[in-house]
Amino acid sequence: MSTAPDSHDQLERTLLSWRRTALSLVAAGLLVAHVAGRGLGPVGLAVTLMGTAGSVAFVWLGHERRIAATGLALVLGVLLLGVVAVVGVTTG
Amino acid sequence: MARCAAETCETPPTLRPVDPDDDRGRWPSWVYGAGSTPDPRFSMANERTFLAWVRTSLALLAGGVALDAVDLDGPRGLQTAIALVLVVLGLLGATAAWVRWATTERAMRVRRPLPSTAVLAWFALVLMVVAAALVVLVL
Repeated sequence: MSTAPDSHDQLERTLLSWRRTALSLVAAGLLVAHVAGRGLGPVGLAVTLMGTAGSVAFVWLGHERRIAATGLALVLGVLLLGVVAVVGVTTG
Repeated sequence: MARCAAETCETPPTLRPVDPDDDRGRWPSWVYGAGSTPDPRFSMANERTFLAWVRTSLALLAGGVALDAVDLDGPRGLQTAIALVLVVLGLLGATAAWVRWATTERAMRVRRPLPSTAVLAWFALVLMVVAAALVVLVL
């Protein structure tokens, strides 16, 4: 097997993996936003949607050499959703 | 993306040969400040593992929220507790994923053994307990 197609494949798989994860964050964000809208009101809904959008935009447009920062933005998006979900579960 | 013959392909930007000192200014310095740049394929595999952990965390989080939203016949307190455990597990999983990515990247740079998978064992253990509690809740 030649090296170059294998390298292209690795890069494509990694880029697709980033975008797949960002889309998963969108899906989870919409689910949590639904809970936040019911339990926490419009402020909770706005924070959830804007936080998710910000995180996804950072990941989608992130430069490939800033992996640590892009990954941290992704994790922060998950943490925001988790905090909102914890509040929604405990108050709902 | 269109495929091309190996001899006509350009090397993708991230796979170009890199200067070992090129990473020195990158953040976080405790990862990139030591050792030398590993094979890009290993770094990308590390990235994909990190992303798989994040997706797993998102699935746990979504599962917890969904569990809280449905009406089951079992005790409401147990249902809320399981939902909370799933959400908190998702939070911890995402955080552990980033830390694990960073420690693995550093280990590859300094040619040390990769970090252990103790977190994975704890995850599996907690998920087994959650699954058992779900059985009690549903039956």
